[in-house]
Amino acid sequence: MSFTLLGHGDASNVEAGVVSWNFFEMLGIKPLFGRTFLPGEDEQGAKPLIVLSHQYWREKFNGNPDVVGMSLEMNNAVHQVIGILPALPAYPFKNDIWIGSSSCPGRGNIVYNSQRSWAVSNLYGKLKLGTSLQSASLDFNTISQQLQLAYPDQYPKSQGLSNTLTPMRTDMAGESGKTFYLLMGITLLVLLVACANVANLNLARTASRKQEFAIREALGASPRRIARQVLTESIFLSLIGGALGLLLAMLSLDLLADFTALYTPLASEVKINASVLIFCLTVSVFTGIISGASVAFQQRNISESLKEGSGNITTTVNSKKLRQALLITQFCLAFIILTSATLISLSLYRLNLQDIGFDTTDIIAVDLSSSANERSEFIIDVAKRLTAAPEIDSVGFSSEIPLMTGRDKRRFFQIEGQNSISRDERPEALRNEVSVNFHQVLNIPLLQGKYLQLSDDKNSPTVTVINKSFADRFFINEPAIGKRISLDEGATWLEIIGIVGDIREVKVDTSPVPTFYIPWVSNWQYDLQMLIKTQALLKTITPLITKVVHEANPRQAIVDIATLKYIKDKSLASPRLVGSLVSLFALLAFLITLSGVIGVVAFNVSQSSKEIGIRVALGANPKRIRNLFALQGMLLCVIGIFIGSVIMVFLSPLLSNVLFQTEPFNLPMYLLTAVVICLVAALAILVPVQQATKVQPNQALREQ
Amino acid sequence: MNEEPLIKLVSLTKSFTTDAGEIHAIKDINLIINAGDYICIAGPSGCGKSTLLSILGLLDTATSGDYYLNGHQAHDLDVYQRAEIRNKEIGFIFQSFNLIGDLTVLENVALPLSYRKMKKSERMEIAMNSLEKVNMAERAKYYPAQLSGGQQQRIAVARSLVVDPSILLADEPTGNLDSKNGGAIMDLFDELNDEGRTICMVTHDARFAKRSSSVVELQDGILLDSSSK
Repeated sequence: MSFTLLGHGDASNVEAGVVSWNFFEMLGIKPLFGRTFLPGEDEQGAKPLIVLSHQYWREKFNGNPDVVGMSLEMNNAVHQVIGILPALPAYPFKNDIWIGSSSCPGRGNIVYNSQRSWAVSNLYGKLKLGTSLQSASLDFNTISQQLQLAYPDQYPKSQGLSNTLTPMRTDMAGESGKTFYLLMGITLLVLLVACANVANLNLARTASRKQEFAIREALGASPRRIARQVLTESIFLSLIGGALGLLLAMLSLDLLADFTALYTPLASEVKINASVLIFCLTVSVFTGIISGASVAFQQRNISESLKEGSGNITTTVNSKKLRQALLITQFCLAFIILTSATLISLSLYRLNLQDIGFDTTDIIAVDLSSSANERSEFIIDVAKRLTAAPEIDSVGFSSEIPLMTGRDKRRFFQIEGQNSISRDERPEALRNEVSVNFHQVLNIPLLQGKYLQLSDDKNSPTVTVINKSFADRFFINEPAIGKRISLDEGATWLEIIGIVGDIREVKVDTSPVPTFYIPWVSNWQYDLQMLIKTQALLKTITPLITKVVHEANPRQAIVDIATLKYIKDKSLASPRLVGSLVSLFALLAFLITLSGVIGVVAFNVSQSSKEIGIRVALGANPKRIRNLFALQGMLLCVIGIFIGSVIMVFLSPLLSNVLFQTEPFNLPMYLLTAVVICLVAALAILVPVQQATKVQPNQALREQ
Repeated sequence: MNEEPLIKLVSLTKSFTTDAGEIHAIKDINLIINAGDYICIAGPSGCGKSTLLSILGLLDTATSGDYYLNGHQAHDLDVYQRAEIRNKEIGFIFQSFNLIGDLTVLENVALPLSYRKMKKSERMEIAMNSLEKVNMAERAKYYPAQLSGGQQQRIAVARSLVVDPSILLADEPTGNLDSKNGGAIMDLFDELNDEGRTICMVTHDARFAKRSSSVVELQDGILLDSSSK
């Protein structure tokens, strides 16, 4: 919950976690300084107490342990700071402070507590040793049934009482799993491309060391000994590479943590520790083994290698096939990575173009979150002053700004005239309390009926406006205008007076959800967000907004002021980042593959000077020689792409989790990627291929 | 015998410029080779034999002088023209065999024909016929590494014959063979010459030089007297 904290500098907004006394004890969390809550300190009448989060303590109190015992004001009550927590994951939310449930204006309220059906808290528990989640769920269901029997009015049969148990680990990971697995998969593919490239280079190096190995074996070294030598060299090189990679990771740690924070509260766990070091070491060693294996276990003919004039025959079949196989592998993997990047880029492009249903131009959002008492007078006062300013066109309010929090806050409701249904089948929709001009400020079109009207401002609302998705879902074959819905099981009713266009409330890539809008009323009790339509620049208008708000209430904290365009861009930050990362990896893989094909073709040319001499002696002209090596290189490219495309058909469903309005199996994109790879590869091998035509046949034929 | 010589060299010179000044690999060579001749170019090591053979085979160009092949000038041709003539008129046999390791025997022999517009089946048929001439047809599907030195040189001879060349140029064809295999190759050359093939061979082995019909001596790049049988 958001509150305003006073007593230490300017009034500041804080996110407060509201907990029972034993929350930290149950999780085994011991404070860094002071203490956490004791039995009874969450009950009605208990002294208001605060436990500070580690980050908030460091940022606002400079890490000073003397803050324990300090008094701060919040919600018109003096709270005492009793403890400071150690650094913890931002779970279940990123809270600045923690208070006992009795200190919360909502959850400490007797009326709240008497409403059994108001689900205002989450339950956390620790399973007994040996107890499964399934048996715990069964136990909970039994308790639910007992409560229903004991309190039939609070838990009517038509709605029931249900619960879902989720392991905390799963909850903490959040939506991060799919994205991280995608990135891990892509990274692994890039690593394999690099391994294949190094293996090919190693093979090339070995060709010139053939005699060295033959001599060693002739002097008594066993093949195993030679293999050990080769692998040691390879692993040493890859360890150096791993160390450089680790250094890069250390330098970009902050960036990594920021990226992780977009997905999971475990961002604070992103650091270089023993696990990371061991992982890096293991990957480096395996990379060295994979890269060196092609050479280490290569079969050699000692006598042939030791002979002078062993160049009577050009390169052997097996060695050439192995190099070709490695290059095909590189092209195959590069195609998979590049196609994935292409699809993700296409998805991102569509995401950017997605119509979100409302206007973001020239609109500034002001997050006031927790507002002071007497909200209606405050709201009226602020709106009046701001609207009077020549720079401002209009001012609206809402409890939720679209795309801002990304939270899907749905509420159950009841449609008048519809039969009672079970709790699991109760309809639910997004609920937003708004000023009557909210839709006009955001330019959301009116499809039927009328917008919320000024005359609807009463002590309690009696009308509502729904969106198109709501009408399509719940009023399929009948007009919605004039129908009534209830949020309190029929105690009061709201008449539908208008239908507006859908907007993307939660995320840009989340389809519009059924939503109903209720006009703000005099006893507004929800978070307060202001929408200001103005052509003035943000930095120009911000001082005016701040001045007006503080003149209306000096104790009102302003959480954030940002343009709606910025909020929209921020909501796209994580898919953009994923898209950028995947594209970067794809480019890296492609560059490695290109260097591989250039290297292999160049090596083929250098090793084939005798063969070139022979072919020229037999009548091949420069064009034929060029085409011979160019075709050799391009054939490997085409084969690799073909195999990659077949694999991609099977892998592509894995991408569907991160794609927006883009089919993972997209033939035009596959073809486009294939053509681009072929074109660039053809250009890349022009130089080494050209070298082939400069071979002097008479010299090449005499070389031994 | 045709009146027009097959090959005519007029004052042919090949020189290199080094720090020490100009060096002549061959100088003022005048030579005539008629169709059906079996000529041997002999001389000590470094006398310019291989250079002369390279120029004859259009693998290298002379610094000055004229070279006529089948009545046409061959000294001012561009690289494409030289390639075409090599493919049609000249068959090479090298000391180090120079077979391509990842092609089969049959493919090696058919290689010169792949530079012409021919169907593959036709190329293979001609190549097989050429292998039969050197008694190596049963090894058609082998790879060079699976054959002995003598066998590889036979394959090289078959390859040189596959284009039905005007002349066979052999550069130390027995240099990497034992005496038995060397003798066998020379017997093959005798057979080919008896069939009317023109052969120009470079060797420093006097035993094999005697088997040709004429010997030209080269020393320090200069042609000495020639002798004929």
